[in-house]
Amino acid sequence: MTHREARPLSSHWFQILLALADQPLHGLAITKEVFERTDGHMHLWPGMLYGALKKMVDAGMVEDAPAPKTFAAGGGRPRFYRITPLGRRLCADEAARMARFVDAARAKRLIKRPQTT
Amino acid sequence: MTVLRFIYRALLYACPSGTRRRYGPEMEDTFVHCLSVEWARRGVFGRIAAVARGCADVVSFILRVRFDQVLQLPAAAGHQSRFSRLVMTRIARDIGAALRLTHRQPVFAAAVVGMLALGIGASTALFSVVHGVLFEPLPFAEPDCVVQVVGTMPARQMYEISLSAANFWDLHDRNRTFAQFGAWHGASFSLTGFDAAERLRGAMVSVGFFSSLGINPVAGRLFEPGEDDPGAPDDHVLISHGLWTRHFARAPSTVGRTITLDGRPFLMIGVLPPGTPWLDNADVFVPFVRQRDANRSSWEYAVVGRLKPGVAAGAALDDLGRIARELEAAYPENKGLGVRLIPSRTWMASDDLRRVLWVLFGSVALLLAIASVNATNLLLVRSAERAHEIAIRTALGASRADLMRERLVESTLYSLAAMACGLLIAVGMLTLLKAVDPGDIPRLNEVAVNRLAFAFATATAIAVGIATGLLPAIHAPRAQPLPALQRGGRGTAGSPAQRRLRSAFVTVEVAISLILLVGAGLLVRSFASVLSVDRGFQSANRLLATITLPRSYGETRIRQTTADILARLRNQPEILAVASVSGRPLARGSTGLGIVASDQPDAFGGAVPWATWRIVTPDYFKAMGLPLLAGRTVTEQAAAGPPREIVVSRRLAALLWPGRTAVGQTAILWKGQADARAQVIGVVGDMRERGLEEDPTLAVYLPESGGRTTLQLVLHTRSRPEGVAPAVRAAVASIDRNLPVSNIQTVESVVTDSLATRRLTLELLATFAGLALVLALAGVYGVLAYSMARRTSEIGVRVALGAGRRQVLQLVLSQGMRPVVAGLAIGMPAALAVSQLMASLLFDITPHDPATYLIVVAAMAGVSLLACVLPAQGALRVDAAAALRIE
Repeated sequence: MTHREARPLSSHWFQILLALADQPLHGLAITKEVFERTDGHMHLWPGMLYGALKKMVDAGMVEDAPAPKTFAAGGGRPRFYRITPLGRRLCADEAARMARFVDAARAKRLIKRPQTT
Repeated sequence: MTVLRFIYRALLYACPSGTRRRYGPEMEDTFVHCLSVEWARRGVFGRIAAVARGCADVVSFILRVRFDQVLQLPAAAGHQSRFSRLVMTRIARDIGAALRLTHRQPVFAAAVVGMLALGIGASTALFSVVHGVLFEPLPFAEPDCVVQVVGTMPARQMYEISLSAANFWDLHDRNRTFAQFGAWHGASFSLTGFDAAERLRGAMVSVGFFSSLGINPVAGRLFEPGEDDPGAPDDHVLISHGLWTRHFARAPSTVGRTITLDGRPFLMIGVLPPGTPWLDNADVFVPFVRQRDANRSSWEYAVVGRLKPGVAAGAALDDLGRIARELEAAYPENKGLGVRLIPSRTWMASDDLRRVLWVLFGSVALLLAIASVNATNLLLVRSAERAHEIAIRTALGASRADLMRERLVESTLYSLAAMACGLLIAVGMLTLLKAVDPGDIPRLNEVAVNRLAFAFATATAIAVGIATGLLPAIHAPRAQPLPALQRGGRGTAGSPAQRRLRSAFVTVEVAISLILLVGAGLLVRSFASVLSVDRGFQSANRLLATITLPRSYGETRIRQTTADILARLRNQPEILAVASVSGRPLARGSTGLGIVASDQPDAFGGAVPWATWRIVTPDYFKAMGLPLLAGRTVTEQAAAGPPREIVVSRRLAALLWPGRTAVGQTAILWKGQADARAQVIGVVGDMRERGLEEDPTLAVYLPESGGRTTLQLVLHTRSRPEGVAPAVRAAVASIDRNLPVSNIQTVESVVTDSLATRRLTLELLATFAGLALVLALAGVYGVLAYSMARRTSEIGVRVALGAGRRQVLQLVLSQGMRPVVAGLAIGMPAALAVSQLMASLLFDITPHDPATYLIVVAAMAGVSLLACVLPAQGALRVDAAAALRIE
């Protein structure tokens, strides 16, 4: 998996990992969260979503998780996914990589500095 | 949604069963969720695109899963992945086989691909036009909130009239449902300070106009609230993107500079973005300043509004209707005046244009159907030819599934190749269409083969590929190996079922092309009727021109200059007559008034006759070639004071004073508004002023009193009118160098232009019908020729047994013509039904015009018979001895 770490993550893999970063979610919930966070720009259609999840499970970035006790499904029981330490590290690396670009943009005065509180 | 879920589930069955069990139900749920989100935020095409997007997504998922299996071949998953690998390699092998076949029979492949490319290309081009013209959203923010407000006067059957200034301001001030409300009045300016004086289209717009549309300036700013109040600086101007590009090379520093319009400096405060409608309709925009005593009876302003968020169009209409009733009660000028809203999505295309585009789109769909049927037929014939080879392969253990898959792979390959060629054809057709742009198809220039058109072509190609391959696929394995092997690939013309199928296809082709030909025939006859209709005016050796005088000249100078120009032109030896008129003939939009006879003012009750009025100089009738039927023409002296003298058209005279002499009678003009009295001094012939397809206009001609800033000239020339144009320019320049002469056009070309869309529709439909006919004839010929080739030995036997030429000919022709006759019989009622759809495009004939049907049917029967002649000649040449030797 070393080659994977050197390459930037594709944007929808990154978004999926980001969605899973703070809690285990099932597939539909991931789609909804990504849709809302990207203001409707990234719509994860099922083939893309589950294809990615399948590969990410194989790569050890994501693993199956038990459904939380509070979860009450309407019909079937969807499968939950949880981020692994490897996934968390890759996601963080990617976020840091993006942050460097944002810093560069700030340095060139394209965007404002964040408000310091 | 349920149906789509079901389809989705069916698609998922292509997954390996493990994957399907694990992900299937969740994927379905996610698919339905995604779709419902897209559903809520998109229009018709967006929804279709979303469904396509979802399907493409699942197909690529399946392919990826399958592909991974083939590649990885994990040790544990033995059976499943070997099966997958087998399928993949077989498809690859089929593709290879199909390519080799293509290589061996390039003509066959070219024929199939060519036919399909024609069909796919034409439908993709028309799809792009239909989408770009009818469905592409307007370049405004939230176009659904933008409406145009027009007046209606049901008593006079007028449903789309402009508003008067006073009524506009009242609606503007009193409405509660619009966030923005603005008016537009066309104007024209002459631009000086550059190389030559140039006439610019302009507009006076109220401050709310562009904010109603919801656009942002590309530089500078728009008009701001207060700039249309009385006393605000009236020398601010917005310029169009076109003018900015033409004269200022898109320099940002343009804003803040001045330009000279009508001899006055104006400060440029902003540049508008390009776009249709409105934004490209004029080059300079000045504020429409509110006046205290604005005119209420002159309908001149186009009005648009932006609804407040959350307000439905119905509520806005109720709101404006309430104000209209208040105004009607308060002002006599507003009697019978209502309002109507036109949503922005219907601004671009009139009902007729919509109809035209849909008819054309339908006709290319039919063309595609014929092409597909023909391709299927060819593939069927080929698979019959290969019966021997197939029989051997079956005997060697090829399964039915193998053979079917092979057919489908082959036909899909052909249709994908056809799609690639078709896209080129579509691009070519669009380029051609833009080159002959008739001028009244809006946004034609923005139409392109875009991503959506590409998706359409792909979807069509896949559907066509499967459709054309399906029947050959089902039929392929029917061949029983033993008899086929025994016959050695010769003998009868395929199985009886196949023969019947191919005849049925010919029947379908003939029926469809009959429909298209009838459509084209009806349009041809309509076009002929339009051309031969009595226009009332003469178009030979007539020239039109526009001269604009700056308002800053003042009335006396304008009057003098006008008189000088007319006198100078009249003295040219090349010019027989010259006149000015207030509105260009055959131009859109007209000025109207209510008129009654003074001695019977209430003869028509509330439905006062409505006539076009034109202000003309004495020679107008001579210049236009309108016959003076009674009395005399207007005089220039009469313009000075009362009593006002008018000339009326023949139909108007007959309507107001039936059975009496109109000359000498007194009429009341602007009935219900100004109630002006005028004496009829002459009657002239009727003229189709609003276009050749409209009824002759009821017309009132008033004498010109001078002082007009825009002169519309009509000239009757001695020789070719184009040759006179330079003389006209020179004559005007000799009087005043600063006057631009524009819109020089012969009346003949105005008439031709007014028919451009009709001509284009006709040409396109005729082309499609012609192609359909050629394809259908190819089908008739192909099937018969093929069948004759296979029946050579049978005919040989018949000849040997004493059949004469006559019998053989009869045999061949009856076999060839049977499907044609059946096709005509089926196509006839279908054409009768389908032609109803184009009733509104016809002129002077009904959709059931018997002559058209008769000619088309006779022509089709005739050319089909010709298509049968070649195979028949072949059959006649059969040498009995030679044919029998083959057996």
